Amino acid sequence: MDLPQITIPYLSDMAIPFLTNIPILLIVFISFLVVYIIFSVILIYHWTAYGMHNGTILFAETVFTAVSLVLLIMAFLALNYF
Amino acid sequence: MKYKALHLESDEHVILEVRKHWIVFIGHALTLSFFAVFPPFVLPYVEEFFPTSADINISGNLPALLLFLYLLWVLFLWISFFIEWTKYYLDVWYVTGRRIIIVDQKDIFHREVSNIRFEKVQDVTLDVDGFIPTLLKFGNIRVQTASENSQEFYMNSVRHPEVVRKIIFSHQNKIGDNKFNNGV
Repeated sequence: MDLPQITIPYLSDMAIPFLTNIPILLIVFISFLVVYIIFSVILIYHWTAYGMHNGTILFAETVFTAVSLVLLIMAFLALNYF
Repeated sequence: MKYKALHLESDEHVILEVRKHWIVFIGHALTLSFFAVFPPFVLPYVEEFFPTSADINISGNLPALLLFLYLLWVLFLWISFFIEWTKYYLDVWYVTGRRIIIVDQKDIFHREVSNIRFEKVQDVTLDVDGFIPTLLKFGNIRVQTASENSQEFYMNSVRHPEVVRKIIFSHQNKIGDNKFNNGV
């Protein structure tokens, strides 16, 4: 059975090459970093103020910070290899 | 002090923390996990459905670009997961020796805190409905106050609702007995 084929108009000519240059990707990365910092502050504030120093909260805080830092570092390295 | 934010009285202690069952949260977690694993599974079929995508000219390392975008996507899902988890975990009832402190975390910036003294508790109703709730021991719990402007406090999918009701009733009885013995 033949699969339906869809044509993407103009995509190869304009949008993709423009969006995939280092300055634009760097802006995307920095924007994500800013959003991440804002949400981290919100979450850590909630955990500290209302978490009652619960062991589960401390565990969640550690996992959240560690994994998100790994993701950010890997994203930055991937950007360097681009 | 662990429960400083609750402003407990000097000889008051938290006996029980009542939260929703983890099954309530698992739906969010599975949805986010699905969205996290979706892109790598779909990527090999992109060219089949969009043949013109092969013509896209990218001056750079394409796998590195895809990895970069994927990692940002996973980071977005990771933050969403913890926002949902925070809403789930901070929605809690603290049962102390004197009262129930009800923290209703409606949204990340919407939090309501209420107190019910055991003297004011008129009834505690629980409702375990269905096969899964019976199997996993969770259900809905409703506390009704006996004051003039009677109020109802409700939490759905609570873990071990029978235990919660038993503890509330035993402390309510203790307070009633103390009052009786003191001739109040």
